[in-house]
Amino acid sequence: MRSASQWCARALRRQPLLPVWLVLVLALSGLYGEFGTVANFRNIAIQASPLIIAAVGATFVIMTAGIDLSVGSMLFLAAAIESSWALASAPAGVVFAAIAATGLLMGLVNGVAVALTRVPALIVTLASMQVFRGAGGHITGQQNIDLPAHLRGIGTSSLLGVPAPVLLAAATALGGVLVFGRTVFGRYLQAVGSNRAAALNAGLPVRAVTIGAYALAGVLAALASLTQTARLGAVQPSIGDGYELTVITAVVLGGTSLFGGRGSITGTVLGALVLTTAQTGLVFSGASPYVFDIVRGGILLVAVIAAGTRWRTLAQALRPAAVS
Amino acid sequence: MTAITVTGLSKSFGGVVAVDGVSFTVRGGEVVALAGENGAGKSTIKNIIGGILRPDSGHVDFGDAGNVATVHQETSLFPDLTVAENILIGHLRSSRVGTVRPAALRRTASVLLRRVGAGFGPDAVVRELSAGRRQLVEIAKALATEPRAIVFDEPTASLNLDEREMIMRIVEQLRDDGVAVLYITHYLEEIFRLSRRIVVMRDGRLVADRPAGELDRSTLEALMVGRELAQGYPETTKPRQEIALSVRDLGDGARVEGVSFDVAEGEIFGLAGLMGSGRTEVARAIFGLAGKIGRIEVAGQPLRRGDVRASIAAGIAFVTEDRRNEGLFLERPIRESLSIVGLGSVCRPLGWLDHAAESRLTKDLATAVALTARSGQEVDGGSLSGGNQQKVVLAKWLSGQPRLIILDEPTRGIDVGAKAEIYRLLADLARAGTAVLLISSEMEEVLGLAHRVGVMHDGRLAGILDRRRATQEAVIRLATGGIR
Repeated sequence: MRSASQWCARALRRQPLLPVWLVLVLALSGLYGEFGTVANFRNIAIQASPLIIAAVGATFVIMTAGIDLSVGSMLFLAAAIESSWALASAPAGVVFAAIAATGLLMGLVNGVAVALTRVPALIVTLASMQVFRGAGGHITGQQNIDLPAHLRGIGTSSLLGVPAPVLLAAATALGGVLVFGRTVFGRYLQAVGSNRAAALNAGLPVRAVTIGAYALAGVLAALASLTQTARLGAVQPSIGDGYELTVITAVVLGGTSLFGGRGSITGTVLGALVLTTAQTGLVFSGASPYVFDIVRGGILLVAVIAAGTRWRTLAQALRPAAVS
Repeated sequence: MTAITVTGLSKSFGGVVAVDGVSFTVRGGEVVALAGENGAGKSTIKNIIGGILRPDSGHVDFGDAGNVATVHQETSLFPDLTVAENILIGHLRSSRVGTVRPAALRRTASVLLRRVGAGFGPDAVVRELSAGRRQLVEIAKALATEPRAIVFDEPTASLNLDEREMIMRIVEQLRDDGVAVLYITHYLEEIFRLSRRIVVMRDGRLVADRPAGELDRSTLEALMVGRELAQGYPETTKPRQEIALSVRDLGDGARVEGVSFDVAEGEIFGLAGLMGSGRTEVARAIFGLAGKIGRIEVAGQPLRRGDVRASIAAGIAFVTEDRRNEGLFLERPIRESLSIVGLGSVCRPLGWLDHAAESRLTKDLATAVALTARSGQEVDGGSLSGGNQQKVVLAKWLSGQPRLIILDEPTRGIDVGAKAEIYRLLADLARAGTAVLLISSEMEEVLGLAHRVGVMHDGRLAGILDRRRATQEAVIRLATGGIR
């Protein structure tokens, strides 16, 4: 019993978002009978999947004290290229590889520009955000393009009852946790974000690490794009529009510091789940879609203020109990 | 006439007692020194007196003085505002409608600047001032309220000898004007020169409150540390024949040029000179952090220019003078700061971490530098005392035996106990054959440790003195541009 409460205290200290999410789920389930069903939870998980994938990538970038505003545009450009391949009816494997390569390339453009120039990441990705979206619009001609069945497989298939998007998101999250906690690259990421000068002094490959973070974010944005378009069954001009706000909100909500050096993948996953759950709850309430923008902004503000005050004191209050 | 009366002050932070029942007084016209190691509770006392912290119990009374001004260690100035605006930042609304009147500001500021003997005007932008001049601005700012009681917190920590002398004269002048001064510093010579009484703190308690005349240096150190310190500096062995570092005509393209010297294996080579004489630039150029002109060889092999990774691969370690901003990962566990250099050599293939090997490494490193952080290796670097932070910054380089270790001000702002540990460590490294390049403003430690002392003046190496000839006078003569 004591170890269980210890575990709870530690989990709460490290992931204060977990109880918030659970309370949210319970409250919505109480309010709306249909909310607390397996089908709905399954739906939430599928909906959250692209967000989780993209936000894990953004966590790498933000950990280095960088920022990637271009994530939504990367999503769109990847989808646009997918749609052009779709017209050529190439095999799914080739299309997916091409999309991943597109993501890598976009990430490398961001990463190289950030690492090799003194231009702030905010400016670099503000520029690339517009370039990528413009390129995507040019390719699609701002049309809705339906995807052929073989490219929708990711959206519709499942393994042992678990939908493919959820599997992809889970694999991404697990991979992210491993990279963060178990690899030298992950450690270097956190070191660069925590103190760039100290990382340089210790002989760390600061530029390569920075480029790697943006490249990973690009690949994961492409993967998020594949997941998203497969679920929608079509490439729409609105894909990824304003997505960077949701992604960055999920990361910050998950406790990752915008100043770098502090954060976690599990926090990001929880952040994405909280946002998606809230969004689904709003759908149940019948509110207009614009209300989600208000709610998302509100959640972010409350979370950041609470992180600065409440949770820290709560964690301090719990610490002696955990020791005794 | 008592100006600062502190009665029974206690303060805890989350279960850790920082200050425990401390009482003392400072009278008008006297300087009382507050001495103690890092973490003894001096800063907490300062912050309670300054009104930044509220004590758990006890109280502070300013008697006739009414209030107190504080001169902070790390200056609290706005770098982009002028000197006048900084000095009078709390009194900007000079006219009735609430607008700022620049002429009046400058007049008032000029008067205050003259009082501190500043050789610069009120219109200078603070960013462009040297550390010493900023400290003068800081003092002028404190004087703006005409305080009858002032707390000085390490006012000379980043200053050169001339500037230190200037600050001490100001303190003496204030004392003669009847101001009560509480003076916090690590420099024992300043304590003995300035203060009438010395209040010593250790582990949050007051352990002594005595007239300065009753204490000598070693007694004071013993009171601060709580035990007798080994006297003097550790024994060093004779350097070997082989040359570890050879520097020829080194420059940084800006202020340093034509610097040439050799350091043998097992030799401690001190680099002395005034602040701004180019010592740090030499160190950074050797390590590859600054552009360099000239030729550097490590163990006979030429070193690639401007490439930190190549320097590290050649066996050079560099302990920066700015441990917080350039050495530590403040919000990460200290384990990660300790292992950052050696991490690549204790990981599994493909860059997978080996946590067990890492923690063995960091435990060994912590033992090697006698890290005394009680809280283990999972606390954040930022929560350590200055001495322990310095030990971590040094320890991270010890995972392999470095061929050359460069230390820039390794004992700045750390307590006497930690200093002694670092001296011992340097002597041990030299004995094992590492070449040590020691840069320090504390002449005593350079003279006490180094086999030879190079003295920088105005970007050039003014001379190299061997141990027999290296006296304070000889070093100062070279450092100030005098001839040998």
